[in-house]
Amino acid sequence: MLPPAGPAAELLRSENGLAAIGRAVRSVGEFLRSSRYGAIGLGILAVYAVIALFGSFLTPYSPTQIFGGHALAPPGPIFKFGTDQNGMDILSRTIAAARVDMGVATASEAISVVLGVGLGLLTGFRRGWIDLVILRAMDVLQAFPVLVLAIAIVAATQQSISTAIFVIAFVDIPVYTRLIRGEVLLIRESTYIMAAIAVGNPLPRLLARHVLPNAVPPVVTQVAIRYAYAIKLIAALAFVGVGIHVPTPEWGSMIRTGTPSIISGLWWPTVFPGVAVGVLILGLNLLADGLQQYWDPKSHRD
Amino acid sequence: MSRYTALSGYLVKRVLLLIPLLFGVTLVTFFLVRIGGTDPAVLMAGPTATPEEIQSIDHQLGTDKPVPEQYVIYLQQLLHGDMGKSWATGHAVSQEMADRFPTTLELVFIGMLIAVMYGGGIGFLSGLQRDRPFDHVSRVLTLIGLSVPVFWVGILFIYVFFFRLGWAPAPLGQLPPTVAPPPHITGAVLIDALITGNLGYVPMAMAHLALPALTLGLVEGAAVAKQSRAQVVEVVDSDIVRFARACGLPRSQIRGLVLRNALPNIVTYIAIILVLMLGGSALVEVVFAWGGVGQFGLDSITRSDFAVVQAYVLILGILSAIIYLVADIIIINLDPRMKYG
Amino acid sequence: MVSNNTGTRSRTVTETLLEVRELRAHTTSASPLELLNGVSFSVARGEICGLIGETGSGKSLTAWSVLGLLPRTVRVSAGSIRFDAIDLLRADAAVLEKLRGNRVGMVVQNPQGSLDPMRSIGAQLANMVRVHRGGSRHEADERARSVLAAVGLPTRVFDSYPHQLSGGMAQRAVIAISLINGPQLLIADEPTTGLDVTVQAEVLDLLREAVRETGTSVLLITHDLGIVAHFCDRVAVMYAGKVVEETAARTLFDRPEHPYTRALIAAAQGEAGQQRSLGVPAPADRDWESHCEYSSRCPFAADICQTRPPLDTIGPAHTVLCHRPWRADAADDA
Repeated sequence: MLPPAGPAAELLRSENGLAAIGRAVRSVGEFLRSSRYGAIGLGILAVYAVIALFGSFLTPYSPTQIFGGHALAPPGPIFKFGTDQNGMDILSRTIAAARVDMGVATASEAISVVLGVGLGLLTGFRRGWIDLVILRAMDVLQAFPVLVLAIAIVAATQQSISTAIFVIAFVDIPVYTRLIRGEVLLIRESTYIMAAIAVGNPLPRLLARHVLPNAVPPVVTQVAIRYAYAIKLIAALAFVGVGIHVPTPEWGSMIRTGTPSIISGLWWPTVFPGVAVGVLILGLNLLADGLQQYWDPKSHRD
Repeated sequence: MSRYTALSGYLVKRVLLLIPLLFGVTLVTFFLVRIGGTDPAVLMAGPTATPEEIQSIDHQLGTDKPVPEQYVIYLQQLLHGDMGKSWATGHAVSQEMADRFPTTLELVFIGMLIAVMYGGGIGFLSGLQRDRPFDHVSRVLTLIGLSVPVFWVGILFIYVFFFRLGWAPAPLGQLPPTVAPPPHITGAVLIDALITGNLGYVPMAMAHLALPALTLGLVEGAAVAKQSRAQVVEVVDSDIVRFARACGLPRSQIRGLVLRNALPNIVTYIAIILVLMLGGSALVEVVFAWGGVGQFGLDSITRSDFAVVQAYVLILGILSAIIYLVADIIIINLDPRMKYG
Repeated sequence: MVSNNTGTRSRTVTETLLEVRELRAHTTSASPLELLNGVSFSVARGEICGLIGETGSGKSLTAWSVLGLLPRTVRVSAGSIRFDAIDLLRADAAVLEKLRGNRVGMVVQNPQGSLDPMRSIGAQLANMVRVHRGGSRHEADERARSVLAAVGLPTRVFDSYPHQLSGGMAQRAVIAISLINGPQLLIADEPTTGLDVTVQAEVLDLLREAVRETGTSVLLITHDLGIVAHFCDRVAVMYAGKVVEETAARTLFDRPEHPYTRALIAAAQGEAGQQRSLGVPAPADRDWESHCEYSSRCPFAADICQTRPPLDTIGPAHTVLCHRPWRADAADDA
């Protein structure tokens, strides 16, 4: 490999991707200042993260403890959010559910991003028939309504949380793959990369310095969006009764448990978990909107 | 190239592309019941099946044969309209699906109408009235609509409009359990009532349809609203509108211009959202005990009635592919850039 | 040399079609930046006036502000724009709508991106007629076809869509649209910038032909001195949000007075010995009230240039915004 010298190397340095990462990190503060809604979204997310991590210290009772004889108690001094039809405290369960829901969503998105980015790099750099097959497979998968596909797969395999994690991750992979692939294709065509390859730079180095840093903004924005969708999906899966079961506290399954009571006007088993989910997703949407506007001021959000 | 050659050429290509997509869909559903590793015949036969029943299904599916051959058998059966038997109801799956499909269609159709009119309308007006009070209010509403799970909204609506206000009937399906449905043609009460002329049913049917359709339409409509607004804003900021204003075109014409130019992309998004709505409608059906394909499909999933699950996923996959195709056709006809190459 | 600070010109009022006076515009952000710092120039009837400047000088903004079509983020803060005795800045929307596309036409920089992709060229042309002149569809179509022929487009273009046209053809279509109602003034914002060099000349020739015949005035925005030299009767040179020199085109090239004008011409001719790069100061850093903004790049800058530059009338209809214009300077060094 040639030592960094000459016009091609100069070109490379002027497009240093690592500097871009450094800038991005420093601009988190900038972002918070620029977008009020984005800051609110981030704040909500932070609060939920804290609740998810430290929930066990915050719950007044154990989320799975059954209080015999107190089933369907309305919100009151003892049970702030009331109890569900099994006699479990809704406040404790709502708080504890944060860890479950966000845990699954985080695990899914992490897997999804890693695999999706990997596949994106693969299909971007190697243009062969594998490339086409993978893309077509993703097209087919995206043709289905995601919810039904996810439910069916979880039901067809063992119904457990880890299956749910993998299925949701699986469903989101095409999103990241396309994103990264797009970035790779763009950069492939640019002259400075051709110069870099000519000078003899190894591929991994190119990736690290040029492709990935430029891909960070759209990927992060997508993560916010897909994370919100993952939460919705988890809740829907649990609501249908697939993947996560009582007594594990989870917002969707809590709504499922509470549904029969709604006709009789017992609103608290369903409303509290629903609000919990809604606020989290709202925060994520705000964050995603703020991020989108921050990175691309032309995207008319004013 | 003449105008129509370009158009029909594109159409043909598009329809041809549908075929591998449909093959892909059948592949997915084929493997769906084989992921778990269990013998698919065991899954199809259900937990109460006798060994003889399992053996007979084994024979039908050809599980002793190599997998590719099983796939071919599967396809052949599909082409004959044979989707297996539901062990829970004991009837042919195709029959069960056909019985329930119009009911779901009724719900999805009205839901889509609401979503497009509400979402498209709000989004369009919002984009034109950017930053005015109307825009701010509608964006807040849209954001909320995007954030709440559709099944929860259904439950909330039941609480507010049935329990509290008493405006809506009990969420027990298309009709109250005590009322006999109109003569059965499709199974969808409103449609049957209209077709057979039993118009007395119409108010009741519509009352029962109202909440589920509104749930579906308003929640999914939020997504339509957001995308419509974004598209409208993009066009309003574009050189096209700037030049039109420089030409002194009156505001009514500018509105029409914006609509024309925003429509192709909006149609694309509506298609995507419609496909998502197919999933959402299943959840709504469960909440309101609607009795359509969605409720049947989801119930079958939870009770492991796999023949139905497979058929349900297949039908949705095909429907989605058709929705995308129709959307493409509409866009081709709307956009001269596609129509006349 | 007697300097006349009020900068009046030796032309009668009835000859002036468009007059821009001390036009100021700023951004609408929390801390507003002034983008136009007091722009003044005029266009006479039947005259082709060029507004030349580099990127960031504010020339495009000036052009679009005449028709009141500034982007959402920019607003006019002071000054006046008079078109044939109408105060455009204070006119209401209905008046402006009647003027646009009718008495004032616009040719844009990006023709293919500005025409409505959903309608045929003929439909767009005929619509122009019917909106401003009324009449039957048949009459409008006929008029559209004749204008298409006048701009040198084949008859099939009537039924064509914008995406089916080349850049040059699209620009001809835009010119047709802008001229179809016989405007008194045509504003052309960099009409040839996006086109191939060979096509540029054709389009300019077409423009010149069209306006000579009808006596239409033109306000031509450009950064290309060559175009100004071949096309314009008068020129106004813009720098950092102000007009620094305004005179007849011939005079500009024979006897440029403002140092910036001289630098522009030198750069265009590829002269060696340019002192500094021709950059334009950012709006946030400008303050014409306290000093001449060009002084930091000006080879003739003196201490006096750190005060507000005066608007001098150097010759008949020749104004310069400078403490030390060329001829005056040369004469003063005695």
